[in-house]
Amino acid sequence: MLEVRGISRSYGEHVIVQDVSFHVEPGRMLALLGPNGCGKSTTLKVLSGAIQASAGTYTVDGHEGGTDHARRATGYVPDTRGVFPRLTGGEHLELAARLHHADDWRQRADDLIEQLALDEVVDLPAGAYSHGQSRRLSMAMALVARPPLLLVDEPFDGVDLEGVDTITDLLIEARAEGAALVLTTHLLDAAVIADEVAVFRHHELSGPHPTGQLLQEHGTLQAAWKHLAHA
Amino acid sequence: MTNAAAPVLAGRGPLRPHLSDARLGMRHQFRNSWRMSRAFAIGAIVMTALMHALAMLTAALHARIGTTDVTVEMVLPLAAGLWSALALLPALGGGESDDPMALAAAGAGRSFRFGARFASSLSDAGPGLFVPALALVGAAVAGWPGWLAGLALAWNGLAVGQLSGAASAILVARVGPTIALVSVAALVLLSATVLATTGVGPGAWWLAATAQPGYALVLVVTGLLALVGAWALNRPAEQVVRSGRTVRIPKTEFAAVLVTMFMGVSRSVMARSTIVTAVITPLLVRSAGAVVTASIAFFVTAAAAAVLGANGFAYDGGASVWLLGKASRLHMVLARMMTTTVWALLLAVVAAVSAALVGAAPPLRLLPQLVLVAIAAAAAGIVPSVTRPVATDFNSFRAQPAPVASAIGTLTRSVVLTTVVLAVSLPVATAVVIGYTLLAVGHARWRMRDPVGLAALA
Repeated sequence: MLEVRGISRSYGEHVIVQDVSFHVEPGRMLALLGPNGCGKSTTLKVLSGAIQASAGTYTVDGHEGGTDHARRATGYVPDTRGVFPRLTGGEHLELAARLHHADDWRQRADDLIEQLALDEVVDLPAGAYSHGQSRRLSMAMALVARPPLLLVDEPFDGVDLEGVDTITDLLIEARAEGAALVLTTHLLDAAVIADEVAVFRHHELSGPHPTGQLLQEHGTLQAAWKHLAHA
Repeated sequence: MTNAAAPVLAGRGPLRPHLSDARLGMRHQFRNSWRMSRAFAIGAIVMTALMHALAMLTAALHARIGTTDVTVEMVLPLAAGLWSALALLPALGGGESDDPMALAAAGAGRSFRFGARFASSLSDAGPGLFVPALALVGAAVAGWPGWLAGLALAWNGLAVGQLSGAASAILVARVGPTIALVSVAALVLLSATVLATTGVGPGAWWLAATAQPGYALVLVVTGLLALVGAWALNRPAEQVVRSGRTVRIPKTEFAAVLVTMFMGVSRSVMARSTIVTAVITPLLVRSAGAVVTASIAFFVTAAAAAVLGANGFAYDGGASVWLLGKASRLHMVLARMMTTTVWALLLAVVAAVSAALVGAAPPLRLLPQLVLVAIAAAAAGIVPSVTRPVATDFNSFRAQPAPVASAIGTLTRSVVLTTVVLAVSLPVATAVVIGYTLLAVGHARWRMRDPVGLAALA
C-alpha cells in the first residue's frame, strides 16, 4: 500500500528528515515515535503530498506519491488545527468527501459526527471549536471517504479521555476494513494498538520493529522507546 | 487577608495606578511589535511618499478626466478626508492589541487594555500611513503652521478612532460589531458633513488651524476628551457563536476549492469592513469639502481589495496544509485570485455608486480601467511580501490585520499598478495587468511548494 524509499527533507541547510524508508501493508498500522522536532510531522506532510521531498520517492497503492491518484487514496490528519474557521463542520466533511471523489458519503459523515460527538457543533463555524473538537473534525475529514491510506499526526493531542477511546476505536476499525495507517503520537499507551513501531533518532528512523516483540523485550513501549532513542 | 499592593499604591492618588497600567499596556504592545519596527519605519517613509504621489496623481487625473485648473489646495480636502479614515480605522479592524482576552485573564484591566490598543494604533499601518502624509502635506501647503495643524488633526482622528474602536467592542453579537461600525461611521460622517456645511469641515479645519493656533488647540483638547471616552468604554471583545447557513460544496475539485475560499472571505468581518469603507470613503471625502472626487473610487477599490488580499492568509485558518494534500496548487492559487477579484469588483461597484450619490461618479469611459484596477489589486494580494512565517491569531472572529511589512507591500503594489493603469492607454494597461497577473499566479504557485512560507502568502 505505502512504500517509502529514502525520503529526505530539508529547509536550506537544516535537515529535518534523513533517508527514511519503510512500507505499510493494507490492514496494518505503523506508529512513528520520537521527540519534538525529530521529523515525524514533516514525514507525514511529505507523504500526504502537502510538501515535496528533497530526495527519495514513495508510492501509494502503486501510484507515484503526489499524483492525483495518490492524494485521493490518502486521508490526512495534520498536526495543526487544519480547519477553515468560517466553514461549518458539515461543510468541512462535504468538502473532504468531494475532494476525495467519494459518492456515498452522507451516511458515513452522519455516523462520524455522532461517533466523534460533533453533533451539537456541526452547524457552527469551525473557528468556534475547541482544540479537541478541531482535532475530532480533522479526524472525521480524514475518515469520511474511507481512504485506503491514513496518515494521522498526533490525533490525541488536546482530546479528552473519551475522545482518545473513540479515535482509537475508529483507527482500529479503519485497519480492520483494510486501510494502511501511519500514526504519530507521544501517547505511548495509545501507540500499543500499532502493529509496528519506528523511532526517530537524530532525524533518522530506527525500525520498524514489531510492537509485540518490543513489548516482550522491554516490557513497555516507553522502555522500548528509551532504548531505541538512545541506542 | 492583606493586600500586598496597598502600601505601594498608598499616596499615589487615584490616577497613578491607571496611568501605570496604561503605560504597561503601551510598553507591552510596543515590545510585541518591536520586531516589525524596522519594516514599519521603512514602510512609513515609503507610504508617505506614496500618499503624496497619490494626492498629486489625483490632481493630475482630474485634469485628465476633464476638470481644469486643479491645484494642490484643491487636493487638500482629499488628504483632510483621511482624518475620518484615521478615526474609522480601529472600528474597521486596525489598531487591535495582541490577544487582549488572554491578557485580561492574566489580570490586565481596563487601563492596560486602553494602553495596549492605543499603542497598537500608533504602531499599526494606519497611522504609519496617514500621520506622516498629513504632516508632510500640511508642511508642503502651509509651512510649519500647516505641519502642526496636520499633526493636531491626525491626533484628533487617532483619538476619535480609539473611541470608535471601544464603541465597536460594546456590542458582542456577530451582527453587533457591524451595527456598531455603521453607527460610528454614520456619526463621523454626520459630524463631518455638518462641519463641512458650516464651513469648518476637516479641510477647512486644517486651513483654519494653520492660520489660528486656537483651532489646533481645540483639536488637541477634543482629542483628549475622546481618549477619556475610549478609556471608559473599552472592554475585551467577546466571541459569540452563531450557526452558519450550510452551503452545498460543488462536486468538481476546482469549484469546491473556489466555493470554500469565497465563503471564507464573504463570512469574514474584514470583507464587511471593506464594503463599509467603499461606501463611506467617497462620502467622507466629499463632506470634507472636496471639489473634485471622481477618482476616489479607483483608490478605494485598490486599497480595500489590497487589504483583503493582504489578509488572505487568515481566511483558511491553517487548513492550507490539509488542502495542499488534496487540491492542486494551481487550483488553490486561481481560486484565491478569483475570489479576491470578484470581491474587488464588488467593492468597485459599491465605491462608484457611493461616489455617484454625491455627484462624483467616475466617467463611464473609465469603466474598463476600474475593472483592471480590481484585477490588479487581487493580483497584488497573492504575491508574498515577506518570506518568513509570522504569528497570526487564527482563533479570532476578526481577521487580523496583516503584519505591517505584508500590508505595506501589498498596498504599494496595488497603488503602483493603479497608477500605471490610470496613467497609460487602455491597451497598454491591459497588457501590464495581464502580464503582472500571470507572473503573480506563477510565483504564488511556486511559493506553495513549501508550506512554511504559506503564512507569508500575503
